[in-house]
Amino acid sequence: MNHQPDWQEILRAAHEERLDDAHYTVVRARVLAEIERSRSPWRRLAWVSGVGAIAAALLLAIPWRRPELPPLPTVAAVIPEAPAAPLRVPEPPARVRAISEAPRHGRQPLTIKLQTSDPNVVIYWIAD
Amino acid sequence: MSMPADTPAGRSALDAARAGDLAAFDVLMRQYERLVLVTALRLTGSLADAQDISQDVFLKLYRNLSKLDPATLSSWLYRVTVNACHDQRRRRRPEDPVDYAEQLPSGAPDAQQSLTDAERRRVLTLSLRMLSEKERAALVLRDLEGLSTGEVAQVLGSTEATVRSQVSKARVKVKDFVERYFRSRT
Repeated sequence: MNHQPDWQEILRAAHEERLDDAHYTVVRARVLAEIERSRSPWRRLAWVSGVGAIAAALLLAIPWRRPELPPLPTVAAVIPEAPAAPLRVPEPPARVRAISEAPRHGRQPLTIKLQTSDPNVVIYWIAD
Repeated sequence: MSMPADTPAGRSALDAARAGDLAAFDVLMRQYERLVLVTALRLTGSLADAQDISQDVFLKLYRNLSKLDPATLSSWLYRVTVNACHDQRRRRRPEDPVDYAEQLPSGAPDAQQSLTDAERRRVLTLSLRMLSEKERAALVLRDLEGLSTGEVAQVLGSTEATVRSQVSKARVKVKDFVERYFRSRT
């Protein structure tokens, strides 16, 4: 252990160094397995059919899937309050004044004059 | 750069792998596994990371078999490995520890030698961590993988002058670190 290798000796020793065969075997096995996996036809078939099944399922699902409509907006209807009805004094019943009948020459219509509370409004009711 | 795929056997393995022969691709991986895994290990400092990177590199090789030229396959693998290590290092947080020193098995015949090897690996790992990304890649390819300066430049997409400068700086840093390390131990 007294010998101290110099840098050239270290490089030379590294150049001549050999690895265990097991390390190479591991790599080869992994590579071959990977190639086998990629070449295996049934796996490719399974993969393709799997993708096809998913695509078919998606196609079937599309017509059934309805787009969700956004919720209807709530209509806030504001009904204006009806104006307060003016206070009305109940109208007195119309007075019926009997009109003196003129002497009848045969059959004449009966005319009734109705007076309302409004002096400008007079209703004539002519009845046969 | 030694190019196994450029030999007749390597070429036939490459052709067969291109045709989809997995056993031939396994042969091809065996030809290049040391190149990829050890380079990744030097650059990342972690065996687990190096194995993950090697897996990615070989899967990339498999996907690009038809496009690759056997004459430049080694260079391509070095380049892809170095780039994958850089990507991985950028993803990794800087404070994450590296565990390279404890992972390499020792082929030493006795405990004394084993201790020396473990310490040597530890010093190498620590000194490589002192380097910048480019310096580390240049030093690993030039001094640990034994590529020529031109080959390193080709792999790194750089010039020979730049590689020479990077390797020179890296050697000085490693030398300083090793000397300081052992000075502090005595």
